Amino acid sequence: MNSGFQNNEGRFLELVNENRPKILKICRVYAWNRDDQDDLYQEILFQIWRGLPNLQEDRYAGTWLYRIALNASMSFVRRKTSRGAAQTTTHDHAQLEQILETQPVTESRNDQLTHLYEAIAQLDDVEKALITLFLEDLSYEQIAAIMGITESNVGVRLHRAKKKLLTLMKEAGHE
Amino acid sequence: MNDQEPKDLWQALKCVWQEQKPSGGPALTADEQIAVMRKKMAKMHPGLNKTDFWGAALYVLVTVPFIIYVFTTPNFVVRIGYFIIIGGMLLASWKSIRRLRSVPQPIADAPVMEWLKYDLAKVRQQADDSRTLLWWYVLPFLVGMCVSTWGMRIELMAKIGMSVMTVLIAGVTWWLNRRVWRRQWVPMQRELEALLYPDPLVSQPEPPKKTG
Repeated sequence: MNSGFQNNEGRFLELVNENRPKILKICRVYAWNRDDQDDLYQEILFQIWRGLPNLQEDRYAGTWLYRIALNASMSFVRRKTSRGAAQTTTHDHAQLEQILETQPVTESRNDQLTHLYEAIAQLDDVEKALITLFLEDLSYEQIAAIMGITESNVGVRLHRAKKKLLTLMKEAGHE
Repeated sequence: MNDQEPKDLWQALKCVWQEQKPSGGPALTADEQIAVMRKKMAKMHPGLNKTDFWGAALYVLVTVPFIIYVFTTPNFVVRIGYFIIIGGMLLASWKSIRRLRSVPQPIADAPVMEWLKYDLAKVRQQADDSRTLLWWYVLPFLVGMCVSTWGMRIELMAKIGMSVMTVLIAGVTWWLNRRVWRRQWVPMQRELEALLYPDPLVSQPEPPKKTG
């Protein structure tokens, strides 16, 4: 029994360490200030902890983790909104730049990333999820499995989201 | 802009996205992280959550004095008024418990749309309860209080004063709930419906085929 728990703990830590960048990116997409991002990160980790016994095979861990992270993020946003907190999509350019500047990438890349995050923040929750998964280079089949919609539906929705994102980036003067 | 441009652009954006090395997240050691998870898990009671507990406590707090009055008051009409209030409280508590239980929560790793459907069902229920509050919460309380007040052997002006006070409290409660319904639940319901069922997801209809 005890070794089972320890096994699960090891599996949990391994999964979290392997997927930490993915989880952090999702936190940034759905929560726009540092405190909220930290809260959301812990919430996602907790959902992974709770759901881990349901993960049958490690080869499905990728899509499984995205589902958990996206569900937790959307619930987090909804909870914040229902408590009367400001929409998490409020832009805080300075804060975002501050978060991104710790990264070892060139200035122009940092700029691109900042504008990309700003544009994504203006999409709705489902579009945010679709764009995130698309940018992570997941196939339509994988996206469909995570979202629970058909592949053709993924195609239509993603096409719209991409169009909207480009328009937003153009309006902001970046492309 | 030619056809190749957006493809290149998306490819470039994908590169930027994937090359980012996000830092952040609480700086915890493995042991600390496990401890946090265990602590959170321990806080979750499978049968009774915090909302259930405080909801039940509130109803008990309000209902108990009226139950005591029912047994202590000698006046039959006043007693009927208190019975109506207790009945109203029971109905309200039943409704709130039913609301918590009637929509089964999907598992954490259910597809995103399934979770959104669950959220929508919950919000619809909240919105509906908020919209119909007058019938299942405000009216039983108002009628019960008025019946008991008018059954009491007190001066007419006191009866009028107490009734006006009760109507005012009921009115403010109803108004506040309508406000919450309008400002919170309706927009949230619309947002979720738009996420789940966006405008016709079909592409442009094909032009009619020429015959003959």
